[in-house]
Amino acid sequence: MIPDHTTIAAHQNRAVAETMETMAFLEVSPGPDVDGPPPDSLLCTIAFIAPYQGQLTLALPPDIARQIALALVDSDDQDVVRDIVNEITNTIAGRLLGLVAPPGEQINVGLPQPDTPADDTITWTAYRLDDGRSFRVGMHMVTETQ
Amino acid sequence: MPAPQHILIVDDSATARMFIERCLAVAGLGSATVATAANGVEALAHLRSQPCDLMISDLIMPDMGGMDLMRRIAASPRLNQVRVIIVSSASNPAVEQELRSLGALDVLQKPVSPAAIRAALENLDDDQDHDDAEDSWG
Repeated sequence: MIPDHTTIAAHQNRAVAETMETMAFLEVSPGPDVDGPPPDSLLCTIAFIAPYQGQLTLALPPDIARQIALALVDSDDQDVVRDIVNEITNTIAGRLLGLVAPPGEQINVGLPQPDTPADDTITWTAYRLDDGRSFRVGMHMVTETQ
Repeated sequence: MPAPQHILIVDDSATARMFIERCLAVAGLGSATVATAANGVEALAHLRSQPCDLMISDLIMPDMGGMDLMRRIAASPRLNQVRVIIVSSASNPAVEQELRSLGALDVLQKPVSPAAIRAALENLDDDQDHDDAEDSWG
């Protein structure tokens, strides 16, 4: 049985906060549900495969992505920035599914798909950094029977 | 157990490979020879041709993921002595149990830290000491 929306949203906020803090050294706070991301965002989508289905999309403004790349590997090369966006998305999606799924059930996610347009069914949440900038995470999760 | 001298890092993300390599250096393994592979296929090719004391592998990768890689290693008498640590975001108790049944010595959550790597290496030491003690009693 998939948890309710409020529980999944709380797990998503935790997965995003833990990932951004430990991987990108950024403290973030969740905001309200919002419309889709700004058009210049760097997008990456990962499919949830098991035990639930759906997708998670990270929409990171280029300036934040470059800042993270410089902090992590001292490079803002375009390929490095893109790889980091993929890896952050991968980490958030895996952590979220690990939090939501029952401990006894195998979890599985797909490979990062850069620049994939987000599905219309996802709900976007804004996450704000200490300096006022923000990024967005879109997510949709269902069971096969839904 | 001597510190690993030949380490293989397997991850499809170049950033993740670089990050793990830095963690290894901070954890005191800066003098080890580190090789990298982008998926399980490349990892198997490396293991069959090069020495390897320790493999640190991601789980979700194109072409061949970490679970399939572990199955191949476990089934190979030539390779199943390689010590393996899995690093993944997509892990939970059920996944960890299967990985350990295939021979993984530890399963770490991404993003990995130098402290987590160091603790995992200490666990390897403990496991080896335990095995040595059992051997001497046998």
